[in-house]
Amino acid sequence: MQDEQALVKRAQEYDQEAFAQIYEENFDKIFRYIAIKIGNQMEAEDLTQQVFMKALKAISSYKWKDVPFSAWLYKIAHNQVVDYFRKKNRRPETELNEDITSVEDHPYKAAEFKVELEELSRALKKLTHLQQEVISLRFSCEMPIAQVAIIMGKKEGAIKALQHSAIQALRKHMVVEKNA
Amino acid sequence: MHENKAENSIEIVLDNCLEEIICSGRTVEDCLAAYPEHAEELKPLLTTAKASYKAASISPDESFKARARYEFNSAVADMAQNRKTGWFNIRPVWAQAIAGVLIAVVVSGGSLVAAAGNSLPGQTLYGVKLASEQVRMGLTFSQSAKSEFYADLANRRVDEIVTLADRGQVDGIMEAASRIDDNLDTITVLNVKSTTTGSPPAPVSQNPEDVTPSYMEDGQILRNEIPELFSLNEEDTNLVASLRQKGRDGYLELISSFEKAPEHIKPALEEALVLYIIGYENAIYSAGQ
Repeated sequence: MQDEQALVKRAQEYDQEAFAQIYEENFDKIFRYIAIKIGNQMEAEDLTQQVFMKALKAISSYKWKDVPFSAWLYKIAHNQVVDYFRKKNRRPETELNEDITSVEDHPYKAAEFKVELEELSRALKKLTHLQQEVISLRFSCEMPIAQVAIIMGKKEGAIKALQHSAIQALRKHMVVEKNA
Repeated sequence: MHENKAENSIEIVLDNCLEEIICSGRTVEDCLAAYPEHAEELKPLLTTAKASYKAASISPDESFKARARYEFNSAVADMAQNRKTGWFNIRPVWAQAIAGVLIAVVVSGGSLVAAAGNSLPGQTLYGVKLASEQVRMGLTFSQSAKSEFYADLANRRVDEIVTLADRGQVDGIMEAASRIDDNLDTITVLNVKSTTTGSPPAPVSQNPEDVTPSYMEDGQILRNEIPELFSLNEEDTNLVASLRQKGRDGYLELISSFEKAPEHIKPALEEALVLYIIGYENAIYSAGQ
């Protein structure tokens, strides 16, 4: 934790190596966290980059609080996802409301199109917000239960219970999706 | 009681198994063999968890990542350079404009900057206006003062939109709306806390029914009522109260402009309203955490 605190302090002084390390260590995890929530690879890539750009912009106001620095990045990512859905659903009908996950629109991406990701993302949206958060942090970010507990501000026992109920619900909805 | 114990037990066993599968690469069968007394219950859960974990094991496109990394490193280098040059963390692209502002102040005794205060997107002096705002931002230090300043900037853009709507300039409205989005977004990021302790995450849903607020219907803003987020609450902090007040002022200006705007201008104003409301919603939520 002390190493990470020192790394963040260097980043706050705009040390390029420190930022590069934070970027490399967290980019793929933040991307997966966003991707399974929105179910769209390309939009997840753009949102992930925006998370890091926002973190860079606001790093000087970050205050170390003895929790992993990544917790702050996940919070920014979480807000980014909330904002994404709000804007997507609230724009006037004449605005950009089309589903840009269409494979036909991006044929070069077709091979990489992840059906499983879409199915998981759809099922995930039927869970409670807390269940979604546990699954996103645990599976997409490979985060240990203790760290999930810190980030969500709950006890480990509560996170394990949420994880259990989340997987039960996920199973139900993923089965329903297959049968639909 | 016994049932609770059993429930707790399966939660712990499930977590142990997930830890083994995610971190140590063990198979579902390995875990079932390790916990034969729970095997029947564990099997469907672990199968679902493994399928979910596999689906979540997606990676960003390598060419995208290379471009993104380059952009990010360039942005960091810009920030580092600005810091060294002591320009109050202002981007290099602004440095020249700010130098211009300072020269303009000296040469014109401040009259040029004052004149730029009324300029609009697309006009020659608009860059001077934005640069002078950056100078003022550089002299604002506390987090709440910065948040308030960004809200003031957003409302300044609202004033511009009202004038641009009167003149029928759609492009300028869109440019100003984009700046509003950026300003309000900055307030949100400035106030992001490092942990969600004590409060559940904000709702995330793709279902329009879950996210459509009372002031919208069929994707349109109901303009006959002021959104609740602009109403003061007793428990509001000073910053939240101030944001609500500023938000309300700008909202009323935008609505008034919308009502009298010609039809071809209305879609741009509607877009500005959406960005404005969502931006303030996020900013107020973030400032109130």
